[in-house]
Amino acid sequence: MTQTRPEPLNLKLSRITPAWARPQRARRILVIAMFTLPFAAGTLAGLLSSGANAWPIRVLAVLGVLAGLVCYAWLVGATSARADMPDDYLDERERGQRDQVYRLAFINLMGLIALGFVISRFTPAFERLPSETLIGLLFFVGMLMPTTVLAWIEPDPVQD
Amino acid sequence: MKRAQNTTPIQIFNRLPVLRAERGLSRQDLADAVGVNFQTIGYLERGDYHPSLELAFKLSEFFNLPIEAIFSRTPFKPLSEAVYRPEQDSTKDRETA
Repeated sequence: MTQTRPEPLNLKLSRITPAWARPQRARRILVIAMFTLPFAAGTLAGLLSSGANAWPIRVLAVLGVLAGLVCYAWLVGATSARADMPDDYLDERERGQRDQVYRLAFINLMGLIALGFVISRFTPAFERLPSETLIGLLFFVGMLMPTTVLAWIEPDPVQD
Repeated sequence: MKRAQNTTPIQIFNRLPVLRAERGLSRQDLADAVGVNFQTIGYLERGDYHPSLELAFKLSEFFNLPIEAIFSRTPFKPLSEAVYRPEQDSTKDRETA
């Protein structure tokens, strides 16, 4: 008896991704929104959370993070999760593209870490952030980076 | 030891759009037949991606043509010219020889 493998969970996102999110221009806007919304909400929460009305700001921060996650889910769907698929699910061109994407993602991540190091060395920007927040931030940025790079560089498919 | 660098990228021409049109196939049909994504067929046709030997053989078997009839390092003559004027070309070749 032959067993069919279950469909990977992230491939299911492709079916619930709206059609407008698939063109390259929309994907690039989603990439910018994915990083900007949580960053803006987090910064706002960090600046204003010490007052008496702290909880609405925290809700805003959580909403910012959720909006970022929705953008990420749509990006995964719009790229058919090709940045994270094992070999069996990809053809030879897609495998090469995935490997190129991982290389670029690594370079981008190292660039961001180097930038963060320079900023923390010469400015007090990260002094108020607890170390677990910084590590969490690094983890999530690293996790999102391959899909982000693929969504950014993949051109629109040519119609028949 | 430093690798010898090839500064000129290899250009490979192909007849995939013509062969596909002749057989009335969509990119999706051809992609399904050789086991790739339909976008990969688009990349191949535009010359943005060069196939592996394995994929080239699959295409060759699917179209029942030799690989050199599908892919070439030099631009192809239009298929109609190749079909209807082969004698003229061979006569010219003989004259120049």
